Amino acid sequence: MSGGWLTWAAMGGHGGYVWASVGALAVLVGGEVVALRRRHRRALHDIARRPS
Amino acid sequence: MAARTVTPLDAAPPGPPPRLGWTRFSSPPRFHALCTRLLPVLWTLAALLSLAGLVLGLGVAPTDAQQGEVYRILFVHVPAAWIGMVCYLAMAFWGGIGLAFNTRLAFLVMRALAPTGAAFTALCLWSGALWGQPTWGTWWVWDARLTSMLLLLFLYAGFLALVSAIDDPRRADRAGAVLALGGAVNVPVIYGSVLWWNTLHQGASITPRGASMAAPMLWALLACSLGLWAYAAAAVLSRARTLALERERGAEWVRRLAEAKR
Repeated sequence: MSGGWLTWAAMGGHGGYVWASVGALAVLVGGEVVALRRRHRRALHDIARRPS
Repeated sequence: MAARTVTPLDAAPPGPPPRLGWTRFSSPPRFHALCTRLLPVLWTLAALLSLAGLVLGLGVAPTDAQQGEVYRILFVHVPAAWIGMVCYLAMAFWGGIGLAFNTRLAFLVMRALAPTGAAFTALCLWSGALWGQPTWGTWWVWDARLTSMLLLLFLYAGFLALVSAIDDPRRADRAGAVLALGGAVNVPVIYGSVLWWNTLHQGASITPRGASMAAPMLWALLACSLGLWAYAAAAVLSRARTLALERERGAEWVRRLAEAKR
């Protein structure tokens, strides 16, 4: 069973190229989502701290 | 003297004519509310479609007869290229609207598009290099398609550097809009480069006349593309919403929103 998964993940010997592409997409999406959430939270926090 | 006939125009109430509906969301509080409603839908669509596309593309689509398994980079590379190019065109469009009508929100959307477009352009170049090495035997060649795509990345970098270098946000917006409009000429060059010049990069696989790939590959590409488009739209709207909060921090609607969040 695990042999089947490994064969699939190896992508005919080109797994490194394919997974480096998919991994870069995952890093891009993950990094951007975290940065967007942090910035939004910080903006709300700054506004809440301003004297009305 | 004969009595004048009263027409429906005479009966109309005085004052300015009613506003057109398409300008309704140019008000930052309405735009913020619209984004807050749209974002959960877009994030969900992005997650479901991207995951389905990657499962189809990496696990279900058949092996390519010429390239073997390495062609599966296509499911990342092609949507990234489309998003990189279209985000730049959208930046130029909103920059033009901002310059023509001096609308705050158009400039905000223009600014919000740049980081996402730049990230997808960089991903396109990265995945292209990873695809080029096993198929062409080289990571990079200075052919028209690759060079014009690299120029697009430099245009994004230039835009981001320019708008962050100018302290006055309105001046920065206008300068950025001019750069976005000028640089938009590069996008048709990217698209046409494989037609106009002899390039190592292959021509388009999907044209208005049809697609030169098997149906399972096409479905996987469609799902990946729609998922990543939903992601890009969500990221841009999310960033524009935060930019609106930062720019309008002194406004009454922002104060009320912050109080409601407490």
